[in-house]
Amino acid sequence: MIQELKTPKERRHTFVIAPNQSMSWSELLLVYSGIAGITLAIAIYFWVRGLTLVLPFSGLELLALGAALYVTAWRGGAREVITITDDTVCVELGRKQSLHRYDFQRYWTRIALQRSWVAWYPSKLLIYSHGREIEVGKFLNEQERMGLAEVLKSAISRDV
Amino acid sequence: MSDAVTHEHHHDAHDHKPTGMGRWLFSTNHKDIGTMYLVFALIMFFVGGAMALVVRAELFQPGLQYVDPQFFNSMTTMHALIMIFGVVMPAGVGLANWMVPMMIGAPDMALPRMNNMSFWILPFAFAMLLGTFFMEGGAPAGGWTMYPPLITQLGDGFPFLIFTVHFLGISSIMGAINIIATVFNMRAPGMGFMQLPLFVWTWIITAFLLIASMPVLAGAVTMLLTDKYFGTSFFIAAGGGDPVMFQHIFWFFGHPEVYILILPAFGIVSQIIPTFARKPLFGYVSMVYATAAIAFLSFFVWAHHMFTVGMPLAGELFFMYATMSIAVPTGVKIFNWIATMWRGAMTFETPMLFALAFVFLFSIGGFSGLMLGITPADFQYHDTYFVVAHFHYVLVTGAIFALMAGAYFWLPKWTGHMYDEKLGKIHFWISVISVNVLFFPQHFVGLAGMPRRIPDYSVQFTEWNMISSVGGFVFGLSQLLFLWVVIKCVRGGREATEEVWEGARGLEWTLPSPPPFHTFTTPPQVDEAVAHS
Repeated sequence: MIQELKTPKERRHTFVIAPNQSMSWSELLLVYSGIAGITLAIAIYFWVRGLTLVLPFSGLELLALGAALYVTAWRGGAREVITITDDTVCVELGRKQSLHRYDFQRYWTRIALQRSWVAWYPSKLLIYSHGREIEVGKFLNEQERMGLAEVLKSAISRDV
Repeated sequence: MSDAVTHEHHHDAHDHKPTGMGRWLFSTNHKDIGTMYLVFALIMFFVGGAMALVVRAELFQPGLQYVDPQFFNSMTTMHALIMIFGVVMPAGVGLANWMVPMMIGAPDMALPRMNNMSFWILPFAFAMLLGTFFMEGGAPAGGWTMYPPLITQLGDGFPFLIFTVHFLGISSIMGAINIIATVFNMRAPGMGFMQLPLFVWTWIITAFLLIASMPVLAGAVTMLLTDKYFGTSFFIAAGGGDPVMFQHIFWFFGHPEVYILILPAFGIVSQIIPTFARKPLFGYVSMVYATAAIAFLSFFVWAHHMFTVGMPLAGELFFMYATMSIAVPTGVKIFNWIATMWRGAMTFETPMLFALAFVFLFSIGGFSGLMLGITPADFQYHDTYFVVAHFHYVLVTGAIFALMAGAYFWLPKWTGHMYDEKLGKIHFWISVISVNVLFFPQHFVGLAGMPRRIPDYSVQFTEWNMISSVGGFVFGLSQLLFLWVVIKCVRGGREATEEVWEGARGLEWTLPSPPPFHTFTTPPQVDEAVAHS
C-alpha cells in the first residue's frame, strides 16, 4: 500500500509505504481465540477421557499458530517513508517511528527496478547513489512495486 | 533526477542466481514451492498407483499368485498412506500455494520460510516410510487406520511409521497456518471475505479442519508408541486400556480428514464450472455456508466408521442421523453446480470434462456413503468391497479427478503454454471409462460379501475381480498419458493468453501467463465479477 502525502506549503514529496494488512489486531485475536477455544475443548475432552497426549500437541500447535499470526501482523506494521526535497532523498525505515534513516543527494539518486533472473520471482526496487543502495517496498506486490518505481522516478526528476 | 526503470543488474551483489538444486532447496517463492508440491504429488501418485496395481494383479484371480499375504497387506496399507498423505494432500497444498496468493492479490505466502520447510519435510517423511520395506518385519500392513493391537505387532518399521505420521502432521499444520495467516492478513484492499474465490474459501475451512484434527492424530499415534515402548496401556486391554478407544480418536481425526481431502476439490470445481458455463457461480453465499456446514458436521459423524464394534443404540442413531445430515449441504453444492450450468454457454474442454465427471461420479460415491451411513445396513456392508468402492468413488473420481481438472485448468497459466487438448480429452475418456470399470464392479462383489484387505477370495467373485483388475491397469497406465501431456505443455505449445479461458474471471486471470515478475501490471480491481469468478 502506497500513500503520497501532499504538503503544498512545503517543498517536498512524501511517500509512505506499508504492507497491506487486511485484518486488525483485535480481529485477529478474535479469530485466534475461536480456533484455540475449539482446539482446546477437543483436547481437554480427550484428556478427561484419559487420552492425555492430545493436549500437548494441541498446545504446541496453538503456540505455532499464535506465533505465526503475531509475526505476520507485526510485519504488517512496518513502514517505509521516502521524502524528496529540493536537495535530498531521505528513506526512513521503521514502524511507529523511524528506526533507520538513509539520506541521498537528490541529483545523483537513481531508482532501479531490478528484475529477477527467474521469470516468476519478484523484482527488487532499489534506491542508490554513490555506491550506497537500499531496497524498498519488499512487501508490496509487483503491481504496486512497479507503480512506486515510476512514481519515484517521476518525483525525483521533476521540480519539487 | 532519476534513471529510467532499468532491467539490468547494476550491482554484483544483486546478481545472485541460485542454480540447480539450490534454487529449489532454499526457495521461498510460493510458485516454486507450489510446483514442488505438485511434482512431488505426481511422483507419489505413480508410486502409490504401482502398489495398487500389485493389489489388482494379485486379485485378478483367486488363489495366491504373485505376493505373499503379508506383502499384500503392506501394499494396501502403504497405497492408502501414500495416496492420502503423499498425493491428495500435497497436491491440494501445491494448488493453494500457486493460486491463493494470486487470487487474493498478495505478493507471496505470509510465512515463506515456513512454507519451504513444510514442503521439504515431505520427501524425508516418505523416504522414512518407504524405508520400512527394507526393515525387519517389513512395511506397515495393519491398514492405514493403524488399529491396535494389530499395528503394534509391526516389526522395526513401527516407530518409523509413527514418526512419519508426525512429520506429515507437522507439514500439514504448517501449511494450514500459512494459509490462515496469508488469507487473514494479506488480502488485497477491497477483498472482503465474501469476495474471496470459492477455492480460497474451501482452503480456509480445510485449514481450520487441519488445525482442529491433526493434534488428535498426533496424540493417538504417540499413545500407540508409548504403549509399545514405554509401558503405558492407553489401548492395551490387559493393562486396563481400551483398543476401541483408539478407533474413536482415530476416526475423530479421520472423518474430518476425508473433508480435508475433498473440500479443496469442491473449491477447484467451483472455479472451473462457472468458467466453462460462462456464468457466475450460482448461490455463492450458500456455497460458502454449505462448505462450513460440511466441515462443522464432520466432527460429529466419526463413529459411522465403527458401527460394528458396538455402541449404545442412541449412539448408533445419533451417528446415523448426523451422517445423513451431511447430505444436505453437499446437496446444496451439487445443486448449485448444476444450476450454474443451467442455460450456460457451455463448452467442454478437458478441465470441464473432469469437473463434470467429478460432479456425477462424486455423487455416486455420496449415495453409497448414505447407504453405509444407515446403521443396520452398515452391519452388512462393513469391511466389504462395497466400502472400497465407496471411498474410491469419493477419493479417485472425487478428489483426484478434481485435482486433474485443476491441473488442466491452471497449467496454461503456470507454464504459459496451452496443453494438447486432443491428448487431454483422450486422457479424460480413457480415465473416466476405466475408472468405472475398475471400481463399479467392486460394489457388486462387496454386496455379495467379498471382504476387503484379503489377497485371496472365493471363486464366485472371480469375474468381477478380473474386470476390476483390467480397469485398474488401463486406468493406471492411462495416467502416463497425463504425465506426457504435462511434460509436453511445460516444454512448449501454443502460447497462452492472460485470460486463457474465455469465461475466466478472477485476479489470477488478469496476470500474464506464466505470471511473471510483474505480477499485477494493472491494479487489482476487486469487483463482484472477479471476486466470485
